[in-house]
Amino acid sequence: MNIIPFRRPAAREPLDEQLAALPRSIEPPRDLWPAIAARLGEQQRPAQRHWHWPTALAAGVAVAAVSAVLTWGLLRDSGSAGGGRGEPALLPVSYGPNSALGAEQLRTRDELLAQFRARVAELPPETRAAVLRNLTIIQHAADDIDAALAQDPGSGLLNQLLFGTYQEELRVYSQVITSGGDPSRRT
Amino acid sequence: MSQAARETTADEAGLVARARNGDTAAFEGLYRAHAGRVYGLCLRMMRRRDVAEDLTQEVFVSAWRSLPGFEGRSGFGTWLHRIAVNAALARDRSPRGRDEVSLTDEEGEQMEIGAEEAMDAATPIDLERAIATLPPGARDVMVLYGIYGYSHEEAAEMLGVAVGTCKAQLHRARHLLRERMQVEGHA
Repeated sequence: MNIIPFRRPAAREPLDEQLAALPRSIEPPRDLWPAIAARLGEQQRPAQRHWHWPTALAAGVAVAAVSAVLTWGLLRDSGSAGGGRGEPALLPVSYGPNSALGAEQLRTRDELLAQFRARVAELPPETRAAVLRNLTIIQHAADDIDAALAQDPGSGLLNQLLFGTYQEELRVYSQVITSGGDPSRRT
Repeated sequence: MSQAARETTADEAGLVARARNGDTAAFEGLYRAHAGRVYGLCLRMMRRRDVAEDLTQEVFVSAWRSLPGFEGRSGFGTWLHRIAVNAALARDRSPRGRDEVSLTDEEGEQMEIGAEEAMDAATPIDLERAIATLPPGARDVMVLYGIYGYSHEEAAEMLGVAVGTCKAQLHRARHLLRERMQVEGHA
């Protein structure tokens, strides 16, 4: 019995053939092993455990859903300055060793941070406390995602969550910087 | 699977097991076996030799740190590639994003050097150069799908995009490649 194929398999195009023929391996121009080996001893390996993905996912969702709304709602109505003594310091979010944020990203964050610190000192205490809570939520999310990345460093989703967390941190800074009654402060 | 391939896989599994237990000599063996493929991927995604060297080191340090969590669901080489893709994407997630323009002179020169290293006499260097001029999204898909042979599903997961997006980017990449190489008759 002759079997007539429903559809002929797609023929490989010459371009595909050329692409497939390109070498997959390109040797680095110098031996990178010595530099890598020097860094291995510095690395703390996480304890072997099963990371629960939902925790990291929930952390990302919490950042997205709570942070911006909470901060914006409080900042919108805050006009007067308050004291700042005895309050916990507003520290930038710390990203763990598995969170591969680039130098340029951290540089951008630091630039915003200087303006943020100048503005946040003028905010009333309850507003500063809300900002601090926001940053704490983001810090927890960053920690959870970093721990998950230690188990699965190649996860595209975790890296997207990490980047979302970073963006959320910047959003908090931007909202603080552009808040207040003086329009000239807005950028 | 050929006998040689079986032996390679068995050797690699042994190296992975020893490296998981902290054996740096075994990890060096894994580095020697995979450095070219990791560097090649980084060079093609980032287009700059210095950045590709830096990323390659980062990938292996990250892999060492995360090796206790490597469960072998994918091959070790694929796992490394996933880490490399994430590192490359993270490196490029600057606030301005990757420029969708052609190479600068310096970048072009660097990529050309890298491409020349990769080529043998029978491979048209124009193809490698043309890939380097593709917009980032299209280039990433073309590199993963066209050169490294990942499926749309695998490439989409690595890049954190939908499968449909991956297919659309490939279509765009093919179109641009043909245009730039002035290849005719392969529509």
